[in-house]
Amino acid sequence: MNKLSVSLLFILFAETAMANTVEPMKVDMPTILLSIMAVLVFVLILLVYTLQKVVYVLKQEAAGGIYPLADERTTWEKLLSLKPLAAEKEVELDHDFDGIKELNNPIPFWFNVLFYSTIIFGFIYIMVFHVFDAGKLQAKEYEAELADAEAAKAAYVKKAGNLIDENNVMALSSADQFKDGIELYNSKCAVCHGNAGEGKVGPNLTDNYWLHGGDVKAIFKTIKYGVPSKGMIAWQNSLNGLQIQQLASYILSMQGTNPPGAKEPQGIELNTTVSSLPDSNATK
Amino acid sequence: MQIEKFNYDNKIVRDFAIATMIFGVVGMLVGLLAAVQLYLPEANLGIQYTSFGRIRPLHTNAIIFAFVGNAIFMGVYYSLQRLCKARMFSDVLSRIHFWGWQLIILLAAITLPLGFTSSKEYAELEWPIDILIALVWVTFGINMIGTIIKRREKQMYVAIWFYIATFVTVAVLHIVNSLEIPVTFTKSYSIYAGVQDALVQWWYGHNAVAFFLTTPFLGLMYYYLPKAAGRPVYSYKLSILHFWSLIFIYIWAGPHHLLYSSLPDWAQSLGVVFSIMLIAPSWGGMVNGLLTLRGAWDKVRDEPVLKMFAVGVTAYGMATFEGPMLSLKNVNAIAHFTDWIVAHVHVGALGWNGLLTFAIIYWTIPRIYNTTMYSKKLMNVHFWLATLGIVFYAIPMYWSGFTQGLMWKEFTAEGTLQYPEFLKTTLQILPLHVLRSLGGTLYFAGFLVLIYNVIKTVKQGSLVANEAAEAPSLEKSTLFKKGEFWHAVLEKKPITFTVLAVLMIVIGGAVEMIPTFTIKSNIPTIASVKPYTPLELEGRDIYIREGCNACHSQWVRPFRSETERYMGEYSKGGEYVYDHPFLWGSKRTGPDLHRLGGKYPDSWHYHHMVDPATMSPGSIMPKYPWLAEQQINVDDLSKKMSALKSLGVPYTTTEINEANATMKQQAESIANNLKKEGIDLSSDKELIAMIAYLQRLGTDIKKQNTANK
Repeated sequence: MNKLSVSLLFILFAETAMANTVEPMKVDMPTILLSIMAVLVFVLILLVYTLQKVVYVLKQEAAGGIYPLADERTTWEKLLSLKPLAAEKEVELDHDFDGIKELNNPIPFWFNVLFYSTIIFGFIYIMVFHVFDAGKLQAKEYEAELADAEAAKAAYVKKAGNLIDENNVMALSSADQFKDGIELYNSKCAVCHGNAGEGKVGPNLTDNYWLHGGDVKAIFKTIKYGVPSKGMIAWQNSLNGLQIQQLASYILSMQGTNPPGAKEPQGIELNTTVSSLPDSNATK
Repeated sequence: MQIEKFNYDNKIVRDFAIATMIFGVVGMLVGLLAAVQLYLPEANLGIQYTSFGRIRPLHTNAIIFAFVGNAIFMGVYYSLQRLCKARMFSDVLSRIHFWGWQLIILLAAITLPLGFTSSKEYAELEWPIDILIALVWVTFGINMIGTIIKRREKQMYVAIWFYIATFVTVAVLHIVNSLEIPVTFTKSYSIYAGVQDALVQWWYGHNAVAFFLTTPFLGLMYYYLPKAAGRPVYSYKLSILHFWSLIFIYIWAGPHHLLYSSLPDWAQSLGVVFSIMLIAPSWGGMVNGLLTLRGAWDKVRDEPVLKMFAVGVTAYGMATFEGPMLSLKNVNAIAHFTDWIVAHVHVGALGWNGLLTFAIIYWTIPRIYNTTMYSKKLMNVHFWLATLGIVFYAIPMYWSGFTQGLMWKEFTAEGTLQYPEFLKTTLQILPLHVLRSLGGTLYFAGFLVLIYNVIKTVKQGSLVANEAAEAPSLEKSTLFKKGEFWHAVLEKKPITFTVLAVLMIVIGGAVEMIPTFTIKSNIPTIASVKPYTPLELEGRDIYIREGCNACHSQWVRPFRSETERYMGEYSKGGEYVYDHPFLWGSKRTGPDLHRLGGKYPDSWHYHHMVDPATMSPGSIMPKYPWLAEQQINVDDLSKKMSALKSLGVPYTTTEINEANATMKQQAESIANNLKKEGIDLSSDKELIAMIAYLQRLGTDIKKQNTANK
């Protein structure tokens, strides 16, 4: 029975920490967290159970209950290495400090198990990561994480069909189609470009002057990759193609609205008002 | 054998008890103020001296060094005299220690709100105060060791072992971590830079928890718990094993604060495995404490002091199990920088240090006033307020930590971040922060009950300033008595014991630090990383003064979720080589800033600093209007650069001589940028320097990449 507890405890420790670090991280984060949580909860239950037993024994003794003799002790009592309270005098040391007595009880069995298994764990951990090079240290772990994400993304794209990008984007003409674009604009762009596109920190979006091109593909590209040197953020990690398409379409729809407080023009003038037909540039 | 008569000094115990109570109130109130500011930024009253970045260190210092510190001295001065059967070595040293320590606290309370800070957590105080701390601490040490040497008790009891370990280790930690080069009376730079500074700081920070919040309290537990329970200590052998293993192993575990950083992998792994190995030695204290209550369980039911001990020791057991789990890299990846850590430390501080301190006050005060506690009922009320306070504090914080940690990492199926705006994850947890401050209020209310009860008790008794005692004089005898465990020899030799303890605690730190400092490959250099310009340096000092690092890290971890969110590669050790001190931070109330440079225009920063909500609606960041009003102090600029030069930052003499002109030039260019956007800010304002620093952050490494292309 005791041997069983030892191996159980040991496996428990090895599992908790090694399972997810040694194996390449193929599973997603919530799964990992859940498995950690499961192990932690298990350890906690074990701990609570142990403490409950301790309290039970203590209470029984406090109530003056007769404690079973050494050879009749249950596994739990053996694990706790508890001597009967009545036999306490036998283990009392013959000195006191300001009235405090000390007992010479042995170190509890489970304590030694715990202590030595953590030391073995430490030894194995160092061996795995630094001697046999069998685990992934942070740089490799990061590369693996990126590779996994790329693979997952590719699989998704394949499944989701052709995604919109700057080469194939088309402007949406009715407000109904770019409804989400309006919302996105208000939450993300309005801070710098103004609520009506009149321009604040960022340039005016309602006139026909453009710094980085005024057709839907150019606007899509500016939103997606940003212009870091001028403070325009690259949104490719936070918005998907469809969202950027809707956003770009909404921005195009602001052309010529001439809102109050409009910022002075910046960039190159495109001669005619750019509408849903980028080709109209040609009339120049 | 001759019986000697002497007196115990109870007055010094009383004085430290009063200081404990005063600074408990101050520390908890400041904590409450900080907690409220996290959902109501206006609670800083718009004053720079009470803004979050400045009062957060005030709270931690007040609790650790003023409240817990004075409680340690109260308990040590009471128990040490009785365990040694001797009065304190010197009354004069006792008074110097007491008033010196209070002076340090007073200076901290003045300088931290003024923004005089080294920025290193729990070691924020500037160099003149650091020197004062060292002197007062040594005074305490001499007084303690002196008392031990003139003891009338042959053997040193386990409590004294812990006191000795506390004294020597805190001295070593404080001196090594505080090595800094003074620039002016109120400003210095850490002699270490970047990764090395981080290693030293967290070796210190972690072991401040170990040797200021843990070992002295284990010592106090070993005296007060058996006293209060009237029971013998459970196992002497366990005391020996867990004492030596605890102090030896603890010192290695510091790097677990730096997992997934640019600290070398081998040092991180040492931090992980030694943290795991700490479980058993830590639990040794809990087991010895709880099993000492064996046979006294019926007393625990009616004795509030014992209840506090039982819950306090259990909180210690929980926190010391959780700590090693948080040191596992896969758990740490989610928990680090979140409120989970805040919950973890508060279980330790409120549960273990708080409840033990209360129990010790309740046990000691009536004894030195020769009376009984005024009201046992109020003690019970306090016990429940404190326990409920801890529950209402910890649960919301755990919840908040899990929530935010998972939100940061969540991706959509398309491969974009689910919550690309950091602010959204902050707003999500605000209701939990409200709950947390309610929990803290409960706990604080309980403390006020204690103070009322103590005042009533003191009024009904009278101080026994000098308590008469007698003991046989110590006679020379053989070192080793037959039948004794070998360790008993050490217990009779305080100096040998102290030297051994020093050896034990020096090993771990030395093994981790020496290679990190001497072997170049541990911190690969990056050619394009250059020292800060004079203006950026001034900006960085303002960043330090405002305590920005209390809420913002400068440390992008090697996770996809972070390199995507912060739009740049993860942080490399070579980027920090001129950072005296390092500013990696330990908590993300706001986003990481290491890749901030060049992300927004100067005008964005102007608006965001003056009123963050204009740029990020709903932001809980405080406003910093004073940065747009105050002028950059340029008087010490060349002194600052010379100081850094002496630490190895390659400023040339010309650069130092022309510093002011260079600074002016860069400031003008930023002011012009702002003017173009219609913002009129004169180039000598602090905000200009701050913008310069923020725009520089993490950009050097990009130049290298451009060059490589």
